[in-house]
Order: sequence, then C-alpha cells, then structure tokens
Amino acid sequence: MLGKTFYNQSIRKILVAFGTIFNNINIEREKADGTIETIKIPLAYAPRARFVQRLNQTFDPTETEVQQTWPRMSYEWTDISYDSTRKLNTMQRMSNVYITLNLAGIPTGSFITGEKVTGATSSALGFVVDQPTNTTIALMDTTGTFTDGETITGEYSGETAVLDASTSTTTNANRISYRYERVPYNLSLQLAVAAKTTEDGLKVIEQILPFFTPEFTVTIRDVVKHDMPVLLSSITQDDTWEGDFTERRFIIWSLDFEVKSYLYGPSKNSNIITKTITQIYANNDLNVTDFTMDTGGSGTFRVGEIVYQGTEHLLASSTATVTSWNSSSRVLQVTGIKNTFDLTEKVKGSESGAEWILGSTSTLFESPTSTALGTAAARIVQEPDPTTADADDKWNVTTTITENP
Amino acid sequence: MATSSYFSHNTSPAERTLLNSLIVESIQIMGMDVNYLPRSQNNIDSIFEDAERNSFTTSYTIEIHLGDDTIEGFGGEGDLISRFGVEVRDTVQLVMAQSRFTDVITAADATLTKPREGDLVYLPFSSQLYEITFVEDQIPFFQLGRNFTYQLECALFQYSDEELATGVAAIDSVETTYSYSIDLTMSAGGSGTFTTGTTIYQGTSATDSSARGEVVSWNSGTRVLRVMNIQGDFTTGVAITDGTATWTLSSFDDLTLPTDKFAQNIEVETAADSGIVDFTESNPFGEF
Repeated sequence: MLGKTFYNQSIRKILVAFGTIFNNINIEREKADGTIETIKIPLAYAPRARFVQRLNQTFDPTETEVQQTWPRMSYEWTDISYDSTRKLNTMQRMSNVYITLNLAGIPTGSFITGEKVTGATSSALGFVVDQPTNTTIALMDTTGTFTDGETITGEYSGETAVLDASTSTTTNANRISYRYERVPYNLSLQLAVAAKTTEDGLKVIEQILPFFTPEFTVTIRDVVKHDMPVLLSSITQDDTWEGDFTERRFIIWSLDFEVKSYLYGPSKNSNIITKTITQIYANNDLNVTDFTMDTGGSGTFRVGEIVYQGTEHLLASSTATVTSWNSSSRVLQVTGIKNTFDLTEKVKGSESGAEWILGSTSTLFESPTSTALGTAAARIVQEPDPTTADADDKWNVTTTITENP
Repeated sequence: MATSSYFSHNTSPAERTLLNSLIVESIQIMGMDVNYLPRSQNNIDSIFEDAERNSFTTSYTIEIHLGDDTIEGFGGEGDLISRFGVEVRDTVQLVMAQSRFTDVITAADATLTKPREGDLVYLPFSSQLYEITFVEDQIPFFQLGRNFTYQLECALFQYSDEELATGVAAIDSVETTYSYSIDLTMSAGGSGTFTTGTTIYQGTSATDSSARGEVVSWNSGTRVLRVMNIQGDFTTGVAITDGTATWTLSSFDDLTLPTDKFAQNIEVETAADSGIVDFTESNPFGEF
C-alpha cells in the first residue's frame, strides 16, 4: 500500500538542530595564579558504530593514557510518538510552485529535501522539493534563473550536479508540487553531562536551564520552515560519590527533552486549478412567499409562529412559518410552506389566534421544482484575470454569478 | 591469659629490618620503576570539597611491584563504549615498600608521609597514568608486628584539564594531548618560531593581553599554532606573539576540538549552518 520511495531526513535535521543548542558551551576555571582558563565542553551525538569510535579514539595504542577526558556532553534520541494534540487536517495540501532542473547526468549521491541548491554561475537558488528521477530535481522558492550547463551544489548534502547544456530548466507553469499536511510527532531526546567535579557540572547546567521556560524554540528548515519548540521535561543528577574507595565517582546530569516536530509524506504534483464552478441548490424550505390577506380579518400574526389552513393546527391541510406581518398592507410573509394554501380560505395563527382570509400569494424566491444537479438555483464561476496567468504570476479573480430564472 | 613471655615473634628489630630489606630487594629485583606524582589542589572549594583545578608538577621515580590482582593483566572493566565515547576502565594494583617511600619521597617532601589517594602513578611500560583510589597499608597483615608495604589500588586517570608540568616529557604530553586546545591559523609573512610550552598572547604583554594561551605545537609549513590553557577571546587580524615570534592570526574555529576524538561540536554546527537551522529568526531568550 505504501511503497513510494522518499526520505526527507527530517529526524536527522531535528537531531542536528537540537545539537546546535548545546555545541558552544564553555566553562571557566580559576587557575592557581588567579587567571581564568576557558574550556569548551565537547558535545557528540552518542550512538555510533563501535568500530568507528574505536578507530577514532584509540587506534593509537598510546592514546589510552587516561580513562577519558571530562567534562563532556552527549545526546541521544530515545523515543518518538504521535502528538494527537497538534493533529492537522490530513486532507489539507501544502502546495508550491516549482521548477524542474534537468541534469546532464546522474549525480553520485542525492540532494536532500528542503536543502538549498545554488547555481555556481548564475547564483540562482532554490530549495529541493523532490528528485522525481535520477536526472531531475524539483525546486521551490527559487530566486534567479539557472544557466544551462552550470554546476549546482546542495548546501547541506554537498552534492553537486551539472545541468543539461541546452534545457536546464522546465518551468512547470501549469503545475504545482504538493504534499499532504505534515504529521505531528514528538521526539524524546536526552542530553547527558558528565563532570568530574560538582562545580564543573553546575557551571554547565546553569548555562542551559535558564533558557528553557520550559521550552526553547528553534526555527528549523525542514521540508517547510517551522518553529520547533524544545521542551525540557525533567532533570536528574547521578553522583556516585558513595561506596568503596576503589569505585570511580561519576557525576552525570541527565536532561530529558521533548521536541515538537513534524514528519512529511512524499511530494506529488498536479495541474494548477484555473477555474472553479460553484453551484447552489436551493431548498424548498427556504422559499419566501408573501400572503396578501383580504380585509376583515382579526388578530396579529407573530413572527416565528406556525400558520395553517384547516380546522385546527394538528389537522391542518397546509402550514408555514411566519417571517413578518404587516397589518397595514395585510401582507404576511412566510417560509417553509407545507402543501398548498388555498385562496379565499382562512389562514390561522397557531399561537396568536389571528385569522385572515388569504387573498393572493406572491413568491419572492423560489427554487426550481426539481433538485437535479443540472438545475442549480445559482452558479458562481471564478477565473484568474488574466486567464493566462501561471501559478507564480500575480492575478486577480473574475467572479461571475448566474441565477437560474 | 596473656601471651607467653618465652616466645616473641613480633618484636625483634633485627628481624624486622631483615624482612624489610628482603621486601625492598625483591621489589627492586622483580619490580619496575614508576613515576609518583603528588597532587596539588588549587582553589579548594570549601562547600563541595573539591579542587577547581589540580596540578601535578613533581615526579618521583620509585620502584613498585604489581599486586596479586594485576599479575595476569590490568583489572577493572577494561575498554567499553558509553554515551561519552570509548572509556578505558583499567585498574592496577601496585605494591610499594613503605621504607622506600620514606627514603625517596618523604625525604624530598616532608609533607608526603605516605601515598595519598588522588595522587598519580605513571606506568612507563604501558604509558598509562593511574590515579590512586585507595592506599591499603595493612596487607600483608602485621608481619613481625609491623606493616612493610603499601598496596595501591589505582584506576586509570579521568583527565579533566589538570596541569601536568613534571618535567617528564612522556607525562607532560598527556596534558598537551588531552587538554582543550584550538588551532590558530596564521597569515603568511610572520616571523620567528613558536616554542612549545611558551605563552603566546594578543596584546602588549602576557599579563596585559586580550587573549593568551600556552603553545602545544607550531607547524611552520601550515602556519597552524595549537594552543591550550586558553584565556580570553582571540581576534583575527591581530598579531600573536610570544615575545619573540610574531604572526598575525588569520583564522580559527573554537568549535573544532582537535584533541578530542569524540566531539562533534563543529560537525553539528556545520550541518546546522548549511541551512537546517534558520539563525535569522531571533529569540529574546537566546541566540537563535
């Protein structure tokens, strides 16, 4: 049922954005001579291939001179869950005008959805919507015009590709790219701070906590740019200072965060809608009719009451609801007529007790007798002005309303 | 009933001297030389009872013998990977003659009457720096009524930018290898050669400077100066000097941690700068 291949790297981007919050924290220590030494706290995304880290860190056998260097920080992603409180209408589409860049050949890697692509010669730029084929890239929010044969570079992926020498760009004037509405997910992340002394740990923690109230918002460029709140949900400190003298002491702070973000489905494209037709089908209940009464009646009809013909309300041959009563002109305006009111017969108010003889009727608004689709009461047609406008043009709307006679 | 006055196994000074001599000699024959580094605790925190910055500036060479727990290899949990990278949780048990400690170390520093927890021992054969976590002075238990050895329980040192200035190159290199350092790239056209261990600075003097640090290395080919023990903020386009050599700072990135093989500060920043994070959005409570 699924099966369309796509990968927006949304979670990867979230992890990078999260790391950026904490990658430039320094602490200061006073040395014996009173001068201040600054130390930047190393930060890393913790999970990794063991062999890679082994080779990175201890490939040289002399580099095991110490157990480890502290203080340091790491973070990891622990959980992901759907956030029903931020649910969006899943039938809603996010649409963009896009162009298609035609490549001269198949690039070695892939551009990343949402990343900025820049032309080396033209300096034109745009943001990747999709890679429909191996040799095409769809871009939105473009600025400038790409040049035939120039090299384009993805800012994040570092991927490069050469555009076709003669037809580098397809404008897709009559099409749009769209995705169904993004899906809200919460990611749980944990930041761990390891310190050798209590003071070192506090110096780090106190530079973090005041910024979370309890959220801290980062603007992230994913498939679309959005504000991503990062909520600090809990803080714990584990200090293993008790125990056997031979046991090591570890001071580790664990900060749990909840990141409110979104995941995105695959992109699709479709023709631009250039004309809308709206047909209105009236309901007989909405008909408005003026009853003009003969002279000589009695009582005053009340707005909202039921009027009827017949011996009594429950046995009425026809009914209607009063919308207004003009005693001078003797015009009773009614709606929601059930069955036919006969002329020269009394019209009675069910609540007011008013009784007047019906002289004539006049229908102010009457829907067609048939409710078939072809016989709408009114038709509203909207078209762009000019009608040749593309999706990225500025245009007015011409609205034409036609009523069914 | 009191012990028999006709037998005495625990009071003979001559026998004690003989036993001590045998212990010292056996360690000197079968043992190895190590470096004993007493700890100087600077800026003691009276609340948390910790030292903000420790230094090890003296080294004493003394012989030890590996303890029973270390005959077949180092103890501890060994090498493991944790969320903070690769950790080497080696432990070692060292046996030292009490009299030799007195003769070598106490004689040089009267305040050091016995090995102390927190002091370091450098094992040249494995190039490892161990921290003494516990000093056991009652094993073997009162032979001839006295104890003649210290049994040092040691764990591989957890380094945290402590100052190592012992004069022993192999030990002092631990600081230059693991301390927080940054690489400063100089513009062409400077003069002189920076010397490892000297203080470089931007300003009129080392004491009146906007930034300064201690030279770890200088590559004249690439014009990259690596410094540690950094104070202040370096500024590009401004000369850096140690009083002799003078070069103008061209560029540097303090998020690059060349001495830390686990850190990804610069990788995270580079990825974010490439368009993932929109830094143009301002936040009254932060930089983003």
